[in-house]
Amino acid sequence: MTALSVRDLTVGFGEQTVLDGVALDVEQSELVVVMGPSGCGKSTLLRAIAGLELIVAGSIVLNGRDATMLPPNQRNIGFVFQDLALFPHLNVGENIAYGLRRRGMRAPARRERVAELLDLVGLGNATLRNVQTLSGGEQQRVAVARALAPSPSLLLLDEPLSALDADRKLGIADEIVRVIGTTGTAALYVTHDPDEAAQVGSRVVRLEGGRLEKTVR
Amino acid sequence: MSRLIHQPAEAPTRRALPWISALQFGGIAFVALFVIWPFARLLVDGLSASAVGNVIANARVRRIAWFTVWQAALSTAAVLTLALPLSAVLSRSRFPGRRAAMLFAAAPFTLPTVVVGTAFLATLPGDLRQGWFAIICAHIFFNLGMAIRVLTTASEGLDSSPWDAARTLGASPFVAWRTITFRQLRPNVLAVASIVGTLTLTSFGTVLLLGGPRYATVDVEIYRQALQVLRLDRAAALSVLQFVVVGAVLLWTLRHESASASPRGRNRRAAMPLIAQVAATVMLVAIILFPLVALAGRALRQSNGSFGFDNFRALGTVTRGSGLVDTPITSLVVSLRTASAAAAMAIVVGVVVAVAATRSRSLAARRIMHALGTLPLATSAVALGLGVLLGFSSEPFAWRRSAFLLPCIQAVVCLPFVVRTILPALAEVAPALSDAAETLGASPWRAWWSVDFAVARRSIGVAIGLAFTVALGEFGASSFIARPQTPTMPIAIARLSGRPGQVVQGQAAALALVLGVLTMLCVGLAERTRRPR
Repeated sequence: MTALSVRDLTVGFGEQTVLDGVALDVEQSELVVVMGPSGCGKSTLLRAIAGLELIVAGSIVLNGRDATMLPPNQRNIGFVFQDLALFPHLNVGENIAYGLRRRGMRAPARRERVAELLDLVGLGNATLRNVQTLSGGEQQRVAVARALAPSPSLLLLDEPLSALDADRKLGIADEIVRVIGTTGTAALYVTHDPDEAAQVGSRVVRLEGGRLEKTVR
Repeated sequence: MSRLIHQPAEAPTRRALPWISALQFGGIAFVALFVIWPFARLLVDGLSASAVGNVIANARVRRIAWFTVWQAALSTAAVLTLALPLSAVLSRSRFPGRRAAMLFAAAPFTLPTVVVGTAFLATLPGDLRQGWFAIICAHIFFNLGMAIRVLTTASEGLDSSPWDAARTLGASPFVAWRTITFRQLRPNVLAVASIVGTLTLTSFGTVLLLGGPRYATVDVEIYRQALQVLRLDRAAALSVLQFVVVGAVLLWTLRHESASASPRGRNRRAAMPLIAQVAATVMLVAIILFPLVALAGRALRQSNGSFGFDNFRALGTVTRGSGLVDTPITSLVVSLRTASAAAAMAIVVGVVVAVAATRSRSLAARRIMHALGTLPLATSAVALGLGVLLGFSSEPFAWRRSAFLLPCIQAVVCLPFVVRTILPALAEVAPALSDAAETLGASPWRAWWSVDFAVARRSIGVAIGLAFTVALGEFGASSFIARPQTPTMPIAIARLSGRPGQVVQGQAAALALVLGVLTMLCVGLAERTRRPR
């Protein structure tokens, strides 16, 4: 079954059309990279798939279920935001457990799952640390762990490395690919950087002027 | 209020102006004479063991203190309960006229408290006109618009990514608001709670009019002890105790407020459904409009039940039993004259303090000047009035009967608002601009005048409007100092409202409406000055 199937997706803000009839499939366990220049609609595509932007037309099917009209909290997707959006008033463990609490998971199971995720991203003993005291790379890993914790059917990553130095980017990109690969989650990864795209994705598609132009690789 | 008091002084990146010590001296002298001296007299009289003991042992005072605390807590809780959901909707509203609705909603916060009190006397029916319910309603009306404005502005500037993240992690809209947005807004909620809590703890004019014989706050009791029972020692002791309680509340909120700051960022959240936007706006406008319409209705209702301008015409006549020796309209002339003098004085002292707070030699001197400029906020207007009564009744400053004392004290009340308006504008002018002017041949003061002052002059216009408005509606301190034969408008309104009779009550409503309209006009003009043309 296809993890994500987008058909004729159109999103506009007022008069301006940001996405114009986008069609895209992501298979189970596949990591697809969407590449394109700034302002081409990459982030809007992810936000529309997550249910955070109203769409004008089109359909979004997640794991065979029509999710076009579902609110974000019922789509079972994970989202790693460009600015990470870690909750500053919660510590590392509480950030990762947030989605698990919303799904009614009991405290002992939550603790176990948080520990598992922290091990996976290499932050084994950071559970109680304040997220604001972490380095950029560590925050990155917490954001990925938080998005993966509820076992989403699809992971969306919106330029997750944009805040990092160029020389650290590729190392962390490798780690993200490893973590996603370990969980077997389908993922859609947005970037404007061709090197990052080449390193991360098994398939790279190009978005330009609100349209998916072609599959680069 | 706590934010008003503790604005950090700016970094010492500007060069000091020559002769700045003269300005420092001027500012310090004014504040020392009209703020520190009265307060010192209050402390000396109020801290005597017998006075404090008398006050604490008095069952009536204990009852009043308890009422003061619970009405303030209930008012604050009610304001937040209404303001949080309304601001959540309004921050995501996009309809035309939204900004005007928000400005209108904040208008009651600028109204003199006696106007609010008179409006609620006209709004509520029968037994509800006076008592705790009327007081709470008036406090909600007075503070709600301000609270919504603060929370809506804060919500609009919040980074929406944490909300988005919570939603994608499975949180419903309400859970995401409760667990994320509310936490982000916590400093702002605390700031609002602190402002409303402090204002309602020290509520005077509204409670004097709406409390009736049963309900009084500590400020009303200070006034009663000082001017009706003539126990100045008890009044002073009450003021000191109140200062301690209000100071503790402010310190507590400050500690919690500074513990976290709202994350700012791009807010990408979509607009609320139109029905929610319309419902929230209609509800807000109705809450604000109803008492104002009722006040206008009462002012226009004539003795025979028809509507007309009889009550306004009666402002030019002396009514037997009104408590005024002259016509009510004379109080308008007194108020305009006093407020003009007070505003002029507040602007001069405010500019002096603001310049000294931005261009003194040391950071410590700048901080001291800033603190002095906002010092009057640390005490209630009633306590200030009592301090002035105590401090200026005997030598060396036997000025109680002098005509200049009232505008001086009103200027003290206005001073923090003036400093808070002018100082940030002066501090924002890039130091490089006056440096450039000096390299082009201007002397330091010429550079200040032609660059700093010129760039910040719009804020001085706003400060003039603000100072005039505050002085016009000032009631707490003025009620201790104004001469009985020549009351200001708020004092005349309070006297008329406290007397029975259709004609007198009609005069009170008409005078309150005139003062309310005058105040709103001044605020409107000040707001217009703020906007760049």
